[in-house]
Amino acid sequence: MSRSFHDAFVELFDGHFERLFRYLDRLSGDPDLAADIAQETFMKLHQRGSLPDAPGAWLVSVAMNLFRNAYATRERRTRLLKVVPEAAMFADRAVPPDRGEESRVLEARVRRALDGIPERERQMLLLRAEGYSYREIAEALGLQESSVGTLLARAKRAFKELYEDRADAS
Amino acid sequence: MHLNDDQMQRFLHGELDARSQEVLSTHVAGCERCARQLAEAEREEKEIFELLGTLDHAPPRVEVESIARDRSALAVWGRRAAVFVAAAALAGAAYAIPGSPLPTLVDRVAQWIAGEPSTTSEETEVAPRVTSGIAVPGQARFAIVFAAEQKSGVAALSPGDGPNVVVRAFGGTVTFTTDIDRLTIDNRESSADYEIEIPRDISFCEVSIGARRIVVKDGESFATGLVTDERGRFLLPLTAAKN
Ligand SMILES: [Zn+2]
Repeated sequence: MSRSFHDAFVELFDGHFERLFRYLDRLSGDPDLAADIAQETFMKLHQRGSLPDAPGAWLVSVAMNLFRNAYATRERRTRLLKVVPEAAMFADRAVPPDRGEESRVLEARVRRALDGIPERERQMLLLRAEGYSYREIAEALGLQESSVGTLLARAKRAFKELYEDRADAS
Repeated sequence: MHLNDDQMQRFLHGELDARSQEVLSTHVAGCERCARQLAEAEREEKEIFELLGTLDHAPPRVEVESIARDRSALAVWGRRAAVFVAAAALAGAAYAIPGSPLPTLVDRVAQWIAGEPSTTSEETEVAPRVTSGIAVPGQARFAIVFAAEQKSGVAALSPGDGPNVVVRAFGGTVTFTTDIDRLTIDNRESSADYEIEIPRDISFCEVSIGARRIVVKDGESFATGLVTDERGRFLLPLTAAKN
């Protein structure tokens, strides 16, 4: 094995950066925060200088730590923006202007259903959607691997119920 | 025995060990109920994953080399700090960070946001007309993007010795968005003037104004072809080019 860390790092980045970003973006609904954290996570991996045994799970758990830390900051930022009248100009940044009314409604409905299911199940569902293995999911979230299948089934059921509930209500 | 939730999911995701895979495949092949449920579970999952896709935003353009090169976390908070700085500048006196020259302001706001409110009160020169500004770490190749041409307004460019690309807006409010290798200035409806410092260390920097692109630094050459003002700054008009 003469492969350098740099090569391995680049390969890992290519394979994992976008899925990590997508996971964080869906989880938070904040693409800027997701972009920051995904980049910071890879910087931490680079600073580490060697590959962890289970890189996929390592990246997710490091990102989740950064994410939790960022949340306190984010709440403060929300408060800051509230007292600034011009803050309105930042408010809609997450939604590109070309998205139609219909897709915004759908998006909001999906967001509510996702936010309505228990946190751990939400995380599992999003990780599975990005193709993480049961082992990676278990390791990243600190669960028994044997419980992943059952919890996933529950997560999907809960999501669907909430989603359809909203659909009927409107 | 029919498949339970766990077995159904594992079957679907190829997460069964070889022995279970064999046993359950045999069962499913001969059990209409399980075969139907499996197909249903697969369809349902596909539907859910498609719905989750409606939440997606475009991933950031990140060059892996820029992460591999930059060992400081500085480049990362640039994007967040961008919003803070503009907001703090607007909030002005309410936050007792009036007109501090950048990038000191950025540092303070970043510290303050990060939960370590700066207690230093050393007052440096106040630049009263700065209405918003930002300092972002410059990458080797950097782009400064003005969203649109303006009715009036000019950008005064000068080389800087610090590591940051510094932009100050005068007489108008704009929104900054930063990426690792670019700074986007939403200047639509604005008639502000700007002061831009570009680190000498950056090897390549371009400014675009609407559809217009101007290379302002390429190696040693800086702002080739632009006129200078009395302070030796290179003036780049932000108005539509006259032909
Ligand atoms: Zn059966």
